Formats: sequence, structure tokens, C-alpha cells
Amino acid sequence: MWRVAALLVAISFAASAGAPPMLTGLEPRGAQRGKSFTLTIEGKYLTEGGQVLSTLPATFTPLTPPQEKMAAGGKLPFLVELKADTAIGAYPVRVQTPDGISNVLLFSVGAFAEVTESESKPESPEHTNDSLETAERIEAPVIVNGTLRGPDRDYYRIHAKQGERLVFEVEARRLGSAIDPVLRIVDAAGKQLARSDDAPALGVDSRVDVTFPRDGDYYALVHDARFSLQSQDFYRLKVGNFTYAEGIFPLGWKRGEKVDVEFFGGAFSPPVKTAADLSGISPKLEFTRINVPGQLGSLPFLFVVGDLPEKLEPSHAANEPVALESDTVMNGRISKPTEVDRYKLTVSPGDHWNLELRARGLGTSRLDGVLSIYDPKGKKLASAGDKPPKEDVFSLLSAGRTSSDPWLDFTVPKDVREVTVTVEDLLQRGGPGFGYRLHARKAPPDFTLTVANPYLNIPAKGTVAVNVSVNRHGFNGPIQLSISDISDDFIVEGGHIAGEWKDDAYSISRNGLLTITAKPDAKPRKLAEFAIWGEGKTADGAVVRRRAQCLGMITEVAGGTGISDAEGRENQSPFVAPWLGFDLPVVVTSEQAGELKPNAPRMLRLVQGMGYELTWNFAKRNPDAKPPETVGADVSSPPAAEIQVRRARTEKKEEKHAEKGAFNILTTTRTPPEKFDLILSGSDSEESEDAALVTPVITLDIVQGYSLTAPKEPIALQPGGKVELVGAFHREPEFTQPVTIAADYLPPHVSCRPAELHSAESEYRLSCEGEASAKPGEYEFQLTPASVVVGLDKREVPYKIAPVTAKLIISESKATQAAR
Amino acid sequence: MRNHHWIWVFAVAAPLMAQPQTAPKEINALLVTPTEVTFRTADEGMHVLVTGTTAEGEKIDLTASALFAPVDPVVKIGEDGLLHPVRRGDSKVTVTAGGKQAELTVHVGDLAKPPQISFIRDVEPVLNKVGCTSGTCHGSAKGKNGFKLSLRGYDPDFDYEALLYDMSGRRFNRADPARSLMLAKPTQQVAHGGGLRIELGSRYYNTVLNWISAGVPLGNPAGDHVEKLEVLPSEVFMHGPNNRQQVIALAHYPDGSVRDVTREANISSNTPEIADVDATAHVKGERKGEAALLVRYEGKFVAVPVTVLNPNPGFAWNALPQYNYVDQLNDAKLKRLKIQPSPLVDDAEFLRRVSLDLTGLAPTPQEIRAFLADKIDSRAKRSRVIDQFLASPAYVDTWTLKWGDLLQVSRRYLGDKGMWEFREWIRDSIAQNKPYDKFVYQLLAARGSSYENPPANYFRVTRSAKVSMEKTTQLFMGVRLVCTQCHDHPFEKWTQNQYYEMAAFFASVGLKPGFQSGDEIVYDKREDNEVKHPKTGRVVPPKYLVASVGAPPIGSIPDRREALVEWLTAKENPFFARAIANRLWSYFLGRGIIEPVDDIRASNPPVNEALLEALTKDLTDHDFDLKYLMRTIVNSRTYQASIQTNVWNADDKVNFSHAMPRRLSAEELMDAIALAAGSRPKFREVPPDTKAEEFPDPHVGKDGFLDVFGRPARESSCECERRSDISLPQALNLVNGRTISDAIADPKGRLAKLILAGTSDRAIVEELYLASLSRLPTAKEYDAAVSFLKPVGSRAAWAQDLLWSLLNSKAFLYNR
Repeated sequence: MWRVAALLVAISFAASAGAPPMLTGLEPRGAQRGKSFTLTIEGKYLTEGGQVLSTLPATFTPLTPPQEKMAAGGKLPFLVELKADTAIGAYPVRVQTPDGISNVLLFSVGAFAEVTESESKPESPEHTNDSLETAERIEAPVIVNGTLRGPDRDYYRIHAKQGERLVFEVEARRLGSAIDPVLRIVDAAGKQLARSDDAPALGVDSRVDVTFPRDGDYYALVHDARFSLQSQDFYRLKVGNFTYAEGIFPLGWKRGEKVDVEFFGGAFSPPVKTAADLSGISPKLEFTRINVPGQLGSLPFLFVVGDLPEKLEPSHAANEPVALESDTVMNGRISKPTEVDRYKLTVSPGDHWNLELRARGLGTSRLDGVLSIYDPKGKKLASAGDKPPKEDVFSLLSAGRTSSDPWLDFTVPKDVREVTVTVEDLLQRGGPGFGYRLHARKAPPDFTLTVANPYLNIPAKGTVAVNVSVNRHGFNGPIQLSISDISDDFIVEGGHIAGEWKDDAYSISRNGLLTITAKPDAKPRKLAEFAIWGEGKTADGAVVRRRAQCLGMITEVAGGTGISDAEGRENQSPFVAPWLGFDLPVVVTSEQAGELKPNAPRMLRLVQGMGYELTWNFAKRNPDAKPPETVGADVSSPPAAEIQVRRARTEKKEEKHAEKGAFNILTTTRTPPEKFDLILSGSDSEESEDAALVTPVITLDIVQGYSLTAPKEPIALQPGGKVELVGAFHREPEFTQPVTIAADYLPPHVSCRPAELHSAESEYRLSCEGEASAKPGEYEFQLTPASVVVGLDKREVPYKIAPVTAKLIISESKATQAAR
Repeated sequence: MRNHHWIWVFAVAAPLMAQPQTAPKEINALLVTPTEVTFRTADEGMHVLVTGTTAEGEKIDLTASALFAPVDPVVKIGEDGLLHPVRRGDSKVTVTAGGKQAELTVHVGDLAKPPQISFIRDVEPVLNKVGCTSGTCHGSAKGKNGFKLSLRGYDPDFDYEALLYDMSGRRFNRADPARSLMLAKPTQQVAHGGGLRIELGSRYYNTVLNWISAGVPLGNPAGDHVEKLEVLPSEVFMHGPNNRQQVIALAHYPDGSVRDVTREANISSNTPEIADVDATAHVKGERKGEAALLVRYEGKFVAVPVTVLNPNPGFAWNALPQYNYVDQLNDAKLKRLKIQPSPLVDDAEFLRRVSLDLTGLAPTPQEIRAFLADKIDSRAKRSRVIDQFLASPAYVDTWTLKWGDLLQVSRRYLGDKGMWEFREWIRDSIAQNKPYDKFVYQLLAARGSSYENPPANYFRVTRSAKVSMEKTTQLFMGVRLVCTQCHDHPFEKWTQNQYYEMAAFFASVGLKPGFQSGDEIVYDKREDNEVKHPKTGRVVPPKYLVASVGAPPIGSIPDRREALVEWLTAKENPFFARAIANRLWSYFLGRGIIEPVDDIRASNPPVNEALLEALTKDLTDHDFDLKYLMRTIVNSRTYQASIQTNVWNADDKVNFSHAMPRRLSAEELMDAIALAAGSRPKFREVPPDTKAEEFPDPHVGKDGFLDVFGRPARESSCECERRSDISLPQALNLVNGRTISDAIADPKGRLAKLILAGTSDRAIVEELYLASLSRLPTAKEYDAAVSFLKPVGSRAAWAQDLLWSLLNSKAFLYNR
């Protein structure tokens, strides 16, 4: 999914009049609150006059860029005046130029003076502080802005007095760096005093709290846990005597209300409560940030904001169940090892419930939750979190197999009117950091959506593609994606997510592809945000409509050495920031030099097993337009749907910068009869200003070649008699092969002559007869159709659809009746 | 009244008679073994050993020449040379040999009572002896010609059922037992692919015939199984080659009866070139050395050590100083074997050896100069430098590397971060000198995220209960149970049931992906958390491999793995401390007291049990402090012995009488080259100054120099995975490879610096010798090296050639 997103982002960059900006770095990555400083934004296509878009409470005054960098548009300097009361935290920064908007990078505001690591300064040699002997001297309190380039180790020397306490913390992944920092404190002899890789509530970031044993020099060492080479390789080493907490409780609360939040660990022993006011938080936001009280320095905690009623787990006797209400979030905590929290939930037989536990996945809890449901007799009815997630869950997580918090889709068995829901830690741990949010919902099947693109630049008269993934919570039907409140300037096409289906390989249809095309009169404009919605119907006709979550930003994280295995242990999940609360940011950019045109209807009807030759051509909008280097195709179908799009013309001279070409769309007789979306995209291997183009979606409507229905009434037959069986038959116009319909599993002494249908018959007829010995009774039998399908390669492949069941009644013969 | 006509001479095998003992020695005392024999049924027979002791204490087997004279005719000597019962009664037998007499007590029961014959006690041993159950016959995995028996008869119940019920029971003719197929086949009365296995009318024939006649009884599974196998003598000690010794095997049953099963037992030598054994259980010394006899009978095993001394005259023990108990116990063994140990190695070679062994690195020129210049007592300064090395970061690195090998720390199994975290945990454990029992406890009881609790990575490598068990027993006990997954161990007492009983300790270990990419969580499964026996399909409950004092009763600790670790790491566990003591010894002396170190079994006895026992006890007495044991070993004179040999130990390779040269390991070699040349190759996976011994796993520099020189791929926990062989690719790499040539020619390397600093020729020679061979050059070497310069012209080229030559010398490539 992320890979697709990256491609689409890259595609959106290139436009004839100049490419949209792309940010690769900020220099510095952060600043001390209340200070003014020079911010250099680094990247590509940063044309002069670019405007900073940020929530940072500051003014951005453009400075003259360094001349040598201007040609590449590599740097944009600004004089930044931060407001004195700027809250400590991470702020998104993006740039808009006449050619579009850029990706987001995060800028951090801290409480301490800031310095830049020497080897991170421009033109500095590498590995200048890689040992105790060459360590860089720093003085607390300070924040060091450093970088780690592959197998790099950064040493910092700090003088401390006996008994002095300092907190060392590395901010990296929380700010969108791909670094997974490890922090060590060693003495002058190299003896390690403290080490941290992943600190509580900091994700993969690190923190140590050191009280020094004697006067002297000590060393802080920062390196990447994998010694990996990353494009976003920055970190901020914060050293000082600041207040930090290792966790908060509860993990979230209702929008608009006030709630007491408990901080614990670190400086908060015993825990300290502080009031959090959640009023005025935008309905779009799922998170807010809660500042740590006390000595400034810590980044704020992410805190869930919801719209449902919230409750705190009441104090109660051990093992005594607590009532759990539907559509109310229960904020609980496994407060000590081996503890199991029990909840009583009133249910009705046949009801469908969804139970969701949020804990570790929020980043503010250590709970590896196990969620179980028991009937009143203590029999376990369902559980989650106590075994590896299903393969289909992993399919959502193509970049790195990871666990998620557990949820259960649960149908109440008959005679059960109350269930016990338990929450526990998989490893039987517990403590203040093991908080959770439990939500029980009596609901029809549901789903959630995620947009893979962090932002869009739509060329005037051009098209961009949006990739959306669905996470199904019991809803298995098809979903149609759409964009709400979109103006008439745009055409939205595609967005078909096929119904859930599986084969032996667990291939699952959970991706959607839609395209947005700017109409000719759509002009470059200010940043807008599109909300993408998905809608589906349950079996009983109820409509489920959900808003897609957008990721805010994406930082790809490379593996260490890139050595991977079948288990995908080195596939790293990218960093995303849905907590930024963005919908899909969009601007319309300049017109592209040409257009990629598919020569096919937007709705392409294909019989299972058949193919289609899809030709395309490149239409110039100006005489100098150069066709894209390569043209590829993407389909929203999973591999096991057995839809292939193959390049049809492979002559070398046509492969690069061709003005026309063709693809063969191939299906098999196993391709499910669903709708899938296809786009063609043209791109260049080099990142250049040449056109990179996307076609609007062509929807592939896969259909069965023919269908038949069984006779409405049972066929009546007497022993020794004959009857003609007649049923309805429908044939797709494209399907011209003869179809044979045979009757199988007939009772003994009954036979039917198969029917053969050659053209546009609307019914089939089979002649059946019973021998005198046919035994009276009611029977079911099958009508089995068979045919062949002819693919693009002209070869015939056997083609069958599911047989239909018909009924036969053999009555007593007249002779028998007479004899009786 | 004495009936002297009951005197026979034992008719022993002709070859024995053909090779009489050399010069007869005067016998001072005569010993008969066993001293008392009881016969319960008429068909029994018993060997009796007769041993003479000379004035010097030498024991000589006189069985072949002994005369037996029963006082009453209740027993007789049969044609088979065994004592057989004749009639009921108790009596004595006078035994005469070597001019001395001894007495044997015999008891004969009611011979009129018909013998109780059973499949378990009587027939299965016959099938095993004649080869029916061998791996090449019906004991093979698929059987032979549709007839399958268990391998070497490890499962009598299965064999019994196979005989009775396969082919609808047609193997027996109950009406006419002699016409049974079970007799007709092995006697080749009908065609038999396996040929003639039982002679018609032979003792084995009659056993089977009587069994069929008795109605093919299975017997009493509780009472007919062998309870104990005894082999006499328990140790064979020969004063030179060509000596012989009869051994006998006695099976003890639960009812107290004892049966001579020498003829049915399988007796073999682990080193036939030192001591061979023939079909009549006579052991012959072939050449000086030590061997072990493995005696197997009905699932029971006994190993008998055999020693053949150096027969050469003139040995006089020259006592060397003994630094600690290691020397005392090793000297005792050497003295007994007439092996004179080598004296101490000189200081320079000692420093190189101990530095390589403790830190994986050769000493630097500065360290060598300082050590040689130190004029205090050599033993004291050696002890001091040992302590320095043990406290160094390099010590931590090199032992992290060793444990990384054994625990299979590799990104192939663990991903990058898991691999780094696991290595860090190992390194931290070694830096702390974590007690070994605690180290193992933390590994085997680990659960949780492999990032947060890195020892949990142990189970990310094994991934299944069976592999976890196999690895645990091999790594921490030195016991290999792999083959018992399918059948009882062919050369040990371990059974298939025990395999699954031990695997059951790991049955609940589950793995699921963690919340971070690449992480996995080790947890206790709540369902599907038992192992099942492949034959019965039944759940197998956990059971310790052997009973051990200090082990908690199973079930007393809810967590099976914790119970297992309690049992495993108990000081009284017969394998745990012994295995690591032996393994540590092997790292310093080049081979284990038991070798291979991870194949401890009865048929592979230690070369010095007392020493191994003492090391084991020392380790447990010091709470599994591995560093303490290492310090003890390297402070011993035995460890510090010279590589030079003498006439009495030149061919000794197993008794630690002199140091054995060991090729530097791949990492040692790369680091030694880096030290000598002052230049280190760079690898993209690690920071530029990383030493080879600090490499976290085999993917750093994969398929390069290190792999050519035998770095293990960490695909198993077997010590054997690290190769120390010598190969043509290695030679070519040393001569032509980039590793050495690039290092020598590095513009920032040692040579360039020496030349640029205008160092004198003699100083360059001295520096290069110290940096490569860890010693000063001899006067001859100085002269040769300096004179070599003249025709070359370029000092830099000369110095490069000299260093290249040194790096290709055996003195550099080996730890001596």
C-alpha cells in the first residue's frame, strides 16, 4: 500500500511547467521556544517565492537562497520568529509553490538551547565524533540536532558532578525520522552506565535518566539500532533536568469534556493528576496532545479524543465483573501482574457485537491485550490477541508484519443473554502503564478506510490516482469510494472495492483505486482538503458509510542491510502521522504537456476467462511534449483474482518514450465476477520535469459468460413416461461458445438428454424419461452447464459455472395406481 | 567329598590361545568375578572372569588358563566355556590360575521347574543379536519385504505385535511350531532375503521354538525388562599392546535374577585401532592409547574404558610444577599413561596464546614489549595479565562472538533489530559476568517482545517445541536427542518417549508478531499447547530426562519451562555444569575432555574423568562463574605448556600433555591482520572501526574472507559449524587475496606510517615481527630481513614483502 502511495506521489510531482516541491530536510529540525532563527528548507523544486504552510505559531520571512543551490531549487531559507508561548511539540511544515504543495516534515519546538552536531553541518566530513577520543563536547541543558548516516556512531562528551542527575532523550521517530535510535551513557573508561533502545511511551525513541556516580566526563552515544541508511536520518538529543513521565491514564476521553489525566513514572512517583480540557477540539481530530506538567522539556503525549461517552473502570473487588455498556468507552487498566479485568455485557441471542480494545497500538500503553468472551457457564466463546493475527490481517500490513490491538466480531449464540468480557495482558504483566480503552458496540458489520496518499497535486486537465485500503470488521460486501462535497471542477472515477473473498492463498480484496480528474477550467488554487468516503450495504440492506483516515505524512523506513526473508522480518512499517488530523490535502497545479489516452470504454465488461487488448496513445498539448519513458498499468485486484495486465508490444523501440502502445488484459475462468479498477500511468525513471501521467480509471466489470435458472416448479415424471424440462438461460453478448447443460445426480432409471445451446436462446430444454422401474418419490438433481471460453490467445479453455439444483417428482404409474 | 574329575580347563577361543601373554609374571593374588553365581533354570550359563594381580599391582586376565574344580557336581563347564547348572544345591568351585587359587560360590535352584520363556526377555534379544532388527534389515524405517520391526528392538511391544498380527498371524504354526514361518525364514528353510540368520537346532533356534511352543507369550513388561546392565571388568587396563581381556555382560532383572548375556550383547570399540574386541568379547590392545568399549543389551548401555600403556622401557616421571588442581589431575593421568608433559611455553608465546584465547586478539607491540620487560616472577606476571585480559572489553567481545555462534544470533532468523538486541543482551551478560545458570535461566524462561526482552530471541530461532528441546539439550547438556524423535537412541539409553517428554516442556511456547516491524512476541499458548506422541497420538506429559537432586517435582511450578530450567541448572544436574566445563576447557586446550563437546554419551567417555569432575565441581562451587573457571584453566601449567614435545608425549593428541597448534579462527585472523598491518577492512553493516570479533552476525562480510576461513553460518548450535580446517581457497586467499594485500598497502597503515616516519630498517623489522608474530625477531631473522632490503631498492616494497611473508607464515596463522 505504501509503495503504491509513494509511486503516486512521485507521479503527481512532474508537470510541464515545473514540478511540485518536495521536502527532504529542515535545517535545523527544531528550535527553542521564543527564539528567532534561520530555517532552511531543503528539498527539490523549491522555487523562490515558495510559501510555508505550517501550524507553527511563527512568522516566516523569506531570505535570499544561496545562489549555487538555486538551479536545483534545493534550499529555501526563512527567518523564523517563534512566538514566546509556543507549546513544546512537533509541528507540520509544508511548502506551496506555484507548481503545487509538498510533503510534510515535522519541526520540533523545545525548551533548551539548540546546537547542531558538527558532522551534520554542511560540507563537514563524516565520522568525526565516532569514538570517545573524538567526542563532541556539549553542556546541559541542550538539544543537539544530529544525523546518523548508516553505520554511524555519534559520541558527545558532557561533564557531570557526583550525584548530578540528567535526563537524556532522543527524539527521532516521533518527529518523522526513520532512525530507530539507541542511546548509551558510558564513562571515560567506556563502561556503560545506561542504555535505552525503546523507552516507555516513546515508541522506538530512547531515554535514560542518569545520576552520575562521580565528578568527571561522561559520554552520550547515539546510533541507529540497525545501523541502517535512511533518507530521514536526523535525531535530536535532548539533555537536561526536565520533567518526564512514562505514561498517562486514561488514554483518551470525550471531545468537549474535561478529564483528570494521571501522569506516572519518571518524575511522577507517586502519580500526579492534571486536568485536561478537551473543549474546542475539531471534530476531524482523533487525537490531541497533553503536555507534561512540571519542568518543560518533554514532548506532549498523544491522547485519543472520541465522540462516545467515556467511563473510567470503577474500583471493584478482584474478579467481580463490572457492567459494560454498549457504545461507551471503558477506560481500564491492568494494574498488576496476572490481573484479569472482567466485564458483564447484556446481550440477546443472534445479536452481532463488535468489541475493540485499544492499547499498545496507541503508543501510550504497554498492554499486549487479550480480549475474550465467555458465556455464563464460563465457556470461552471467542478470543483475540492470544494467537498470531490471521493472515488476512497481515495482508493489510504489507510493509512489516506487526500485531494490532485485538478486536472481536461476535454473534451471540442462542440462549445466551449475558457474556463476560475479559481483558488481560498476553504476558500476564500489569502496572500503571497497562491502560486500555474497551469499546463494545452492538452493531452491524463495519469497516474502516485508510488513504495511502498523504497529499495530492492534481494537474489542470490531468488526473491523479488515490489508493485506499479497507480494514473489515465483519463487513464483507463491496464498497464504493467517493469524495464528499467535491466541486464540479473535478471528476471522480473508480473506487470499487470488491467484496471480501478468499482462496487457498488468503488473497483478499481490500484495496480500492479511484482517480480524480481536474476539468479543463479548474485552475490552480489554494490548498483544499478532500474527505474520502466509503459506502457499502449489508445483507439486510443497511448502509454503512465511513470516512477514510488520512495519514498526514509518510516517512519510509528502510531495513538494516536489506536482508529479508519469507517472514518479512526486515520489511519496515513507514512512519505516519494520522494524529495531524488532515483530510487529503489537494491543490490544482499547472497543466501537463500531454495526455495519456486509453482507447477503451470507462466501463469494460469482460467475461470470465476472456481478455481485452487495451491500446493507448500519448496526445501532445504542446509541440515540445515528450512522451513518458515508460507506461505501466495498475489494477486494484489482488493477485489471486487472476487478472493480469501484460504489455502487448515489446519491441524495444516502442518501450521507451513511445507515443502509443497496448496492454493485454487477461482474466481466467476463476476471476471473480466483481468490479476492479485499472489505470495506466506514464513515468520517467529520472526525477525530471518531463510529464508523468495517469489515466482516469477504467473499471473492469467481470461477468459470467452465461447463467441459467432452474425450472420454477418441480418436474413431474411418471415411470415409463417422458417430460421436457425447460428453464431460463441468459448469455452475455460477448460469449458465443456453445453451452451444454446436463442433468446429474438423477434418481435411478431416469435419464435426461443434455441440451446444447448455440446462440441467443433464452431458455434451455432437456428431454427426460423414466423407465418403468423408476421409483416414485421427490428428488433433487443438478443441472450442470459446461462450455469453453476463448482467450486472447485464441485457445479454448473449459468453462463451467456453478450448477443449479432442480426438483423431480416421480409419481406412481397408472398401472400401479390401477393395481392398488 | 571332592570329585577331582570335575576339573576342566576353560576351552576359550583359539586365537586367544594362539597369542599367549608375553613373559609370564608372578601372580600374587587371584580374583574371581563374580564371586557368587546363582542358577534358577537349567538352560542358563555364566562366564566367570579370573584375574591375577602381580607384585607391581598389574592385573592380568587369566580366565583363559584358569582351572575350575567344583566341590560338588551342582555345576559343570559346558562346551561353550560357560558354567552351567547340573542339579539343585549350593556349593563352591575352586579356581586355579597363575599358581594361585580362589573360590567361587554357586547356588542352583529347582531345575525341574520349566523355564519361563517370554518374548521380551528371551526372543527379542535373539532378534537383535542375529540382526533381524538392524537398520539394514527389518529395523529400517520402512522394514524389509513388508515386515517392519523397531530399530535394534527398542520397542518390544511394537515388534511383538508386528510378529503376531502382521500377515494375520501366519508367522506361527501353533500346531507344529517347528514349521512356523518365523523359524523357516531365518533358518532358510524357505527363501529369506536376509540369508541364514539362525542355525537349525542352535541355541537361538531352540529359544524361538520353545517360545512358539509356549504360546508366544509376550512376558511381563514390568518384570522382563533389563533393569541394569553390568559389564565386568568395569575398566580394562593393559600394560602394553597385544594384551587381552575377556569381558562379560550381566543383565539384572527386577526379580533379582542375573543373566550372562555376553553372547547376545553388542560390544564394540570406539577406537579399534587402540583396542579391538572380537565376537567372543575378548578385547585386544592394539597400540598404546585409550579407547572405550560400548556394550549394549536390550536398551541398556555401559561404556568400559580401555587403557593400553606405552610398553617402552625407561619411562621416568619428571615432575613439573603444579599450579593448581588442573595440573595435579592431569599429571596423575599422564603419569599413569607414562606420558611426560612438556614444560612451560616462553613468555612471548604465552602472551600471544592467552591474548588470543581470552580476547580473540593478538597482543599489540606495546603490550608485548611491556610484558617482556616486566621482570617479576613469570608465573605472577602471567597471572596478572590474565586478569587484565579477563577485565578487558575485548574479552567481552570475543565471548559474545562465541555465544553468538552457539545461540545462532543472525538477522536471518531475528531480523536486524532482533539480532542486534540479542547480541547486546549476550554482551551485557558477559560484561556483567552473569552466572551461567542465570544466563541460561533467562534464555529458556524468556517470554515477551524480542526487542524488549532479547533472550526471547532464543525461541525465534528454534520456533517449535521439538527444535527447542533438541537445541537446549545439545547446547546446555551436550546431549544429542535428535535421532530419538523417530526411535530410541541407537547408542545411548535415550528413548523416543523421552524425546517427547522433554519436548513437552516447550509445548506452550507461542510466537506472534510484535507491534514493531520485525519483532515477535514469545508467549504461552493457551490452546494447542501440548505435544503428542507420533505413535499413539496421545498427549505426552513433560518429564525430566534424568532424575536429579534439586529438581522441583513437575507440576510444583506452574510454568513448565521454569521447572525445566530449575532442573537443568541445578548444581546436581549431571549434565549442565559438566557440559559447560568441558566446553570451556575445549576453547583453551583445543579439544574437550569429552570430544565432541556437545556429544556427551556413555560411549564417548572423558579422557580424564577426575579432571572433568573437578572442573565441574569447581564451577558449581563458585556459582557458575565462568570467568572464574577460565581463570583457573589458563593459570594452569597444563594450559601454559609448550607446543614442543618429547619422546614420551610426541604422539599424544588427547591428554593435554603439550599445547596443540590451532589455526586462528576467521575473526581472529582478520583482526590479527588488521593489527599487523594497521588497517581494517570496512563493511557497510557496521561502523568503520568495528573489529571482526565484534561483528554481530555472519551477514557482515558474507561470502568473503571470514567465510573462507570457516566462520559459522549460525545455522545450528553445533560447535562443529565453525571450521578450523585448512583449504586451498584459504591458501590462495592468503597469497593473492585482497584482505592481506589491501591491508599491507593501506596508505594509512602501519607500514606507510613507519616508512613516512623514517624508521630504521631494524626498527621496522622489529615492529613487524611484534605486530604479526607477537615476538621479537631472532638475530638471524634480523639479519635475513635487513639483507633482503638491499637488492629490492624500495624500502616500502621491501617492508611490504616482509610483512606479507610474515602474515603467510605458520607462526602467524596458528595459535601456538
